[in-house]
Amino acid sequence: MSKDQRDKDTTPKRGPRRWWAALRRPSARYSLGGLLAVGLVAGIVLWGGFHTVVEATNTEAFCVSCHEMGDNVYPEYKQTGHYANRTGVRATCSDCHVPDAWGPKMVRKIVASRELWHKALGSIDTPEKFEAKRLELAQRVWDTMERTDSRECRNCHDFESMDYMDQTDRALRRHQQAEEQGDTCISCHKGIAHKLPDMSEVDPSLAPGGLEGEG
Amino acid sequence: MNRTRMNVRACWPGLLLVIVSLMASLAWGEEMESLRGAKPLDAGDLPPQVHRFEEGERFSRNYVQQPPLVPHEVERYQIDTRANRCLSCHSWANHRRELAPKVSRTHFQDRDGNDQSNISSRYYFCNQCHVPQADAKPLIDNLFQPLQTLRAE
Repeated sequence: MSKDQRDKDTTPKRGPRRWWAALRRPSARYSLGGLLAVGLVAGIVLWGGFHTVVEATNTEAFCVSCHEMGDNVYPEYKQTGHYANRTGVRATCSDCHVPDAWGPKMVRKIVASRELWHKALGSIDTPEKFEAKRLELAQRVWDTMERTDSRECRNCHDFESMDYMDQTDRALRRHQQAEEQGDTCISCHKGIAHKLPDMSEVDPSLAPGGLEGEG
Repeated sequence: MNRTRMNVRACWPGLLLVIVSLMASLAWGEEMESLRGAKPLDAGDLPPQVHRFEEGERFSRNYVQQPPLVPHEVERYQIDTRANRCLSCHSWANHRRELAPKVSRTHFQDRDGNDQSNISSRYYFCNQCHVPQADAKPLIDNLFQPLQTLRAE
């Protein structure tokens, strides 16, 4: 850098460059305490605002505001025990599909921008398109839950808090077996909050025989 | 003479109306029985008793061809062209793992008697024949006696 240019740097600047220069210099006008107090209040307001927006995107109303969710998976979910049951406890979309812990939650929210992209593309904007992709979409959720050891299920359903003596014989046997083997919830409990996709590829023994080559 | 006869004839519909309304008012005095029993229209009715399924011990069959009853809850089971919740335990591939009875081999036959690779579509909808067991009394008294040779007691 030549001497001329350095001299030029000390001359008063305009626009963004001036703001940047002011940010880099220590304040000579305001007290440190005043600056800290303003920063603290601004931090609380900004963080609170951010958190409020994130929580707003976790509500059922927000999730089903897209017709892709509202027309396809939501009516199915309304028929299941996670929507209405004997005890009146409801698990809504985000309880199962958004992690509780802050880090994973932020990651999930960033990954969700992909859903906006596909909304713009119209990837599943008709029931037929959705049906065609149902297995792929379900498989993705199943894979995630296998990877996280059904973390979101376990926010409510925990082996530690299960009273096996209150369960039916077959539930008791399978749950104890699962606990010993370290099985995860989703390996058995698929299609509990939405309809199952075409399972003939996943488990051919669930499909009617003799229809090969027909559809 | 002719005129009075004409007058009587003209009166017939009116007479009929009087007779019918008299009969109707007589009937009104009695209890009126409808499909929901002798209850006034504006009175509430008790819901019919729901027979809860019975989990656990399997009920014996009452006759040889009786489809076995289901000894567990099957509410909200998905049985459609995409998936069959029953077969996720009772199919020949899965029944060992789940310690569940496997589907009868007769269910593999199509209507021409040919064995298919899996449950034939005419047996695919399990709950058309297999229902959860419950302690439900016959709706109408009858003389049916279950076969003693099939009962495990």
